[in-house]
Amino acid sequence: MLKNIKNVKISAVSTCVPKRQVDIFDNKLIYGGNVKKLQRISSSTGFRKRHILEENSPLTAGDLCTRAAEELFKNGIKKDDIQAVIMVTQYPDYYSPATACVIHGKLGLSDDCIAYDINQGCCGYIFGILSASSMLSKECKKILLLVGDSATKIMGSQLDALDDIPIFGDGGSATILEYDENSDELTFDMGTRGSEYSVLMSDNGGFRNPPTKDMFDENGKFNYNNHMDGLRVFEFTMNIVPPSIKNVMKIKGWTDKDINYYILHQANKMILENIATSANIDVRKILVKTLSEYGNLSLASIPSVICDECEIFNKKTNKIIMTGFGVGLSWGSIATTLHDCLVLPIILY
Amino acid sequence: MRDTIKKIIQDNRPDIDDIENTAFIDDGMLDSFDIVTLVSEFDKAFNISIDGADITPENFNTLDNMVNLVKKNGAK
Amino acid sequence: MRLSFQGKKISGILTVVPKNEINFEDEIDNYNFTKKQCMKLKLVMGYDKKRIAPYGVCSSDLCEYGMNYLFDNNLLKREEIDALIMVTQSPDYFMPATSNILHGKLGLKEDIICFDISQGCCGFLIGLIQAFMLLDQPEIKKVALLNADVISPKVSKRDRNSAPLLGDGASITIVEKSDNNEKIYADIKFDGKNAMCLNIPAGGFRMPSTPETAMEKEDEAGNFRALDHLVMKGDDVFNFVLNKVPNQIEELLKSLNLTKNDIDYFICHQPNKFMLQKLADKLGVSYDKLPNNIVENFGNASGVTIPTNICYNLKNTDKKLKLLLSGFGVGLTWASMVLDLEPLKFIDIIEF
Repeated sequence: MLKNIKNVKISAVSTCVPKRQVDIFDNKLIYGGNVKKLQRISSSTGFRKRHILEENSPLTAGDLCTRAAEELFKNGIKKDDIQAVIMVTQYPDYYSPATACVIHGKLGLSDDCIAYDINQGCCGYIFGILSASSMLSKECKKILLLVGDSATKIMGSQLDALDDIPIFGDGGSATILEYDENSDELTFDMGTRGSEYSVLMSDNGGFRNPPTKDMFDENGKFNYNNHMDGLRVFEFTMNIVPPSIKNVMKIKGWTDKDINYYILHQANKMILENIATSANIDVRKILVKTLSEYGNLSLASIPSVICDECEIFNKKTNKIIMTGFGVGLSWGSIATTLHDCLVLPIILY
Repeated sequence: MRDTIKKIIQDNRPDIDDIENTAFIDDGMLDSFDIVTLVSEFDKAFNISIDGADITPENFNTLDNMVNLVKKNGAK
Repeated sequence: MRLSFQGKKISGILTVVPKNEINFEDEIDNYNFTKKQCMKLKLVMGYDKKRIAPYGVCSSDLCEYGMNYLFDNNLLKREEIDALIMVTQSPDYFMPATSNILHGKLGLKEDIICFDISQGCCGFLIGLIQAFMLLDQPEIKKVALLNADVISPKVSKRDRNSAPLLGDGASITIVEKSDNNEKIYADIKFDGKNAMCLNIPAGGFRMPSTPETAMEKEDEAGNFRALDHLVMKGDDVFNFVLNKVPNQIEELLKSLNLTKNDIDYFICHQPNKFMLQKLADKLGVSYDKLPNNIVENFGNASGVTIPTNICYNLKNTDKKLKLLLSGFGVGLTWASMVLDLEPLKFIDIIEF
């Protein structure tokens, strides 16, 4: 669905993660203390360190995004020009009001500035860019897109994981999108396969299964009951992502040679390598180092790669393809030229 | 006019003894639901429509304030 | 922000309300009012009948039922839907998006844009704006906009600020490309500094639910509420609406060189009868032209009230109408839109 959107420039990106860093090699319990196994799995999946919120931290994804936005304002982005703020998250501050409205107040944005939330998972950055791009015009010239999740709030820190290496970090990102007639078109490919929604979800806490007494553990902590059928998600990914990358390349008239970097949702290294093989693209152009330092940041994983690799992207020109995939199940790709974009290094909260 | 207003207050809040000398809001005697009811009855009694922007706690704090409010909104 | 669109239209609206009707008079013992006060408020505020979904029914269930009704009655085809937007504050799950679940249950095509927006009272206008923008894309020809809230589980039965007037409901609005070149204009504004005037303190990720957040406590006005429940600062919301909305409407009309006489109906969000009458008085518009009868018949189901208002009050008109739509509330958000409503392919209220 959807081909090209013109006149949209991605002009600034910043990302914020909690300062607390944890390393899976500090976990002496995992795999029954079998360090060799841990090393093997860590090197194939790429996961090692993560930045996560303190236990019971009052901070939310919205706070990380707000901090990322403030960093942009400190670096020359004028907040008075912002005409819309869109927050994409699965973990909002409240059921009501929208987190974007709360942030609108905290950042002191003008009352002419639109604010709303979108609920999307791993391809939330692509959906957010779509929503912002369709709003940009000569009248609405600058939009602040915030994407972030605090996965550890729903999953727990998983510091005591035994059977599986924990992969999720917390993070929030801020992106400025501007109306610019000289920019390269954004070429989209997106879709949804709702028939498989149940392979990656959290059962409890929404309106379908609201909190009841039996959902709390002995410490009063709520059990969201997350579950993922990893194999089915993998199947979906391999089924959908390589064709999606090829679709946007084809519309752009690009080949693998033209593209500088692939910025894919940081699901895990092995999956990304499989995508490269299947799509017949150069695996060295897929950026993967971010997932070893920060983990899978869910929604924020694509912008976190851009910021983590700021020496590549800051104020440079690169032809890129960004692809998000997962929860929903949904997917989305964008091919464009990232040009003269202010990219700030990842900051700590 | 003053008497009509007094009567409406009395009718709604028979528990308030000294209508002439009560600070209804400061003393916590009237809440927003009382105010809504009063407004709708003042509107009817004087054939006016009290401006929404005038529906503030201050304007309902004393009998005098209410008389002024009703006058300001065109009651004769 | 001022927005304008061209070549788009609403082609059908279906509202789905739960069968279960609750009468204000049966619940007055829950509230800290005298009987006499209750009877007065019934008239003034429009507290009367409201629709409440039975336990276990979610907003997505109402949407699924309504969409299947449209498919079964040949009013809509599955394969025509190029985008599905769900606007709700009561999603099935935190993860995944409710629109994606509906996508699966309804068997829609994969080549689709499908996402959720969290918005309350302004949800219909935010959703319409989003739909109009997507329709700018050549490949997107038809958008299904779902507005739904089953918020009643988050409303304390003993909270007289909210419980007498809040209802549950859903609406499906089909928005598509049109040959008509008449422009649609909107103005939308936000005040995030007062975002907490209407809020549900616990249950999100600022204050996750705990056994304590479920415990009801009495406030100074004698309402019983838990942190898991909706809180509405009624006075602040009232003042906000009367201060901001009339000006917005006046300015929008003025900028389009329209007078109030050019507008056939002012279709507003339905918070309560009193506020709407004050709004009509302030605008100098008759109550016939600014209907205020949704709260007393169905309750206020946030983003669903405007489509319900259209279905309930404009069902029998067979000519093109110039409407002013206005939504205001949670966020705080206030938005107004001028658009022409041609006779619709369907305009109906059905029961779930």
